[in-house]
Amino acid sequence: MAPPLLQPEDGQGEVAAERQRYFSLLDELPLLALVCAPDGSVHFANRTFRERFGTPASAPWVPGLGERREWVAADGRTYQVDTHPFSGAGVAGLTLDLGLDITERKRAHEAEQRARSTADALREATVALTRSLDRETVLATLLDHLRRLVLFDRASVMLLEEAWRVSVRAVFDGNRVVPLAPAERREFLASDHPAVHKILTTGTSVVIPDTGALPGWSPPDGQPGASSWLGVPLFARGTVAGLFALSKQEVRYFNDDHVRVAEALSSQASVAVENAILFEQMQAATERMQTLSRRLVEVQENERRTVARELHDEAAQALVSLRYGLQLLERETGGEGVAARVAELKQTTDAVIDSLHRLAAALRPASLDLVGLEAALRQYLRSIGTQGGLTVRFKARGLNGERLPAAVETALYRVVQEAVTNVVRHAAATRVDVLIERRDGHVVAMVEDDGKGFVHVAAGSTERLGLLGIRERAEALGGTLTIESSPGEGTTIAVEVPCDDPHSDR
Amino acid sequence: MTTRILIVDDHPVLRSGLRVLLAADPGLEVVGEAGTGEETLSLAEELHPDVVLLDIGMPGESGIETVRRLKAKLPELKVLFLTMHEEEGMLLEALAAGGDGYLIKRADEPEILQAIRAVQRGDLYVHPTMPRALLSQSELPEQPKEPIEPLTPREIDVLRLLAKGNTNRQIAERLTLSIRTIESHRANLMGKLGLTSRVELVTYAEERGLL
Repeated sequence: MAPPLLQPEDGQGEVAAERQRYFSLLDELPLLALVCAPDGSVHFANRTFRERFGTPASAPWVPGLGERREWVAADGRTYQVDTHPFSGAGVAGLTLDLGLDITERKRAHEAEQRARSTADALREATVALTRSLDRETVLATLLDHLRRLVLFDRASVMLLEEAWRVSVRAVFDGNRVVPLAPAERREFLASDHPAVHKILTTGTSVVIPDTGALPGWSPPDGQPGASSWLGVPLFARGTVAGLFALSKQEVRYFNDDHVRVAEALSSQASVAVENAILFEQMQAATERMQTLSRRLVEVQENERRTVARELHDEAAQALVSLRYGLQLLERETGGEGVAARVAELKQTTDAVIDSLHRLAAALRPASLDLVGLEAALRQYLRSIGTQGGLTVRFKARGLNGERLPAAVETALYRVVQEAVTNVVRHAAATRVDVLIERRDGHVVAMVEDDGKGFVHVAAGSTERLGLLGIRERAEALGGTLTIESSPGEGTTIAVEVPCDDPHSDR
Repeated sequence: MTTRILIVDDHPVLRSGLRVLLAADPGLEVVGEAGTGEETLSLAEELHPDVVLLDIGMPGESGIETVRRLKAKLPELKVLFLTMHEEEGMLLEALAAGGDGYLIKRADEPEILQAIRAVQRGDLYVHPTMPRALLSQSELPEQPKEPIEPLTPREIDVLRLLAKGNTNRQIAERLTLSIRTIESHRANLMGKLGLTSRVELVTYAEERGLL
């Protein structure tokens, strides 16, 4: 039914026939066509329109001359509507609105857009994932990027641990991605959760459209509010290393697209996860090595202490006793020849005592245990100074006669010993200064010479080994080594170790 | 009147050797032997010796600890260290703790007797090879140097940080200056003060109350 103005019989003669043909033409068009008045009332709707939507009293969109707009009809299809001036009806201001069904075109375009944004997100995820080697960061990044592709409500990443235990490493709690510290990780046996078990054993994704319909369902990551659930395996080195789980409050949310995208991201993440796992293993190995090397230093130091004591306290003391005996013999004996022989024996004994003494002090000076770092260093540096050729100066500040923790004293003694040995052997210096300074919870040991300096120390040289030893000792105590040197300008070696309470480990 | 001696050493062989050696002198009487700090304390209170011959390196409490406790209880008692350690640090520590003398174990009998008499008189006895170390130890104070020209405030900053054990780079970072600048400040201030080394510089800063 069309409004009276446009009744085909309203025209006269040629004009009416022409108008009739025109409206028939509009009726034949596979487009929506409406002729509307400026107030939006419909004067004519063509057959396509009538068949789909009936004849409306007014246009379902607001017409505007020369404009193009999209109209989503009640049937879900999208039309692109163009408004043209309509003349010839004898009424001014009429418009002809033509609607083209662009639903398919739009879908194709959206699909392309989605594919492009998926590709972008995947590429960005890959870049982001390779930026970190820390496993928890990698997993959190993974969830973060997946969120841009699938609008899940909650999510989590779980890793397969030893003995088929599964631990939750990161969760998206609805607001943000939280990497979990070891103490916060929920753990369970893979076999206790059928869906997780299936993913881990078969390496395929699992979709649960309605968790309410599944008897005995519980969320593996402990997060509530999952009506539909998607679990996707995470691979590393060709085997299943874990999974990530996405959940949504509405049932039947996850479709094939979601699975595809999540799997794509999972495969992008696999190298990063692999690297992170390797890195974690490497870190653990490094830590083990550091512990071992610390232990080695301790053992070595104890061994030296024991041997030094044996030499000094046992062997040398026995010789001293022998010497007392010789003194008695010297006094009691009558013959001149015998007295002279005894005196010789006494000298020999002295020489042996002396060499034992030096040997023991070189291994580990007793004063380091009995008196402390400052006295031990003073003694050691004096012995270096008396060898000639090098002016040795020493100063200790801030110790105030207090002992430092035994480990710190030993380490600093060895550091100075090592550094000064380097100076004597390699620096061609005329002076070396040694400074021990305690302040603000730190102790600094500084060895500074006026020798030839260096830019690079030859690999494998004893000098390099000495510096390595110093670094190891410093780092074992959580300290740092600073080396400043340039050719002709001498070398400064400073080791700084934390040292809060002088009595902490005594 | 004989001098009553208590011998303290953790080596029985050495104690008996020493006992025999000292017994030969009519002026000395070895009244007892002890092997640990604890024994020494109870024997000293019980026997009231004139002089204790005390070892330093003993298992458990060292002789240095023992002398502190001995002197606290029996201030009149003379303690002569008889030790293997020809180390100046040990010597200083031993004397600071209250020792009256410091003798090394390879001293001959006449020296041991001489040392015992000296400490009994109230003198300090130190084995003749050791005082050299004592002297250099005190590091005869050098005349505090007057700067040839006054230091700039910046140079005083650098001096202070150097004396606190910072490297050039650390100072550069602290003052947000280049390392080259710090090096030149350092050279200038050392030149002005006539100093040649880090330790001299620390000493100077200390004496001037800059630390």
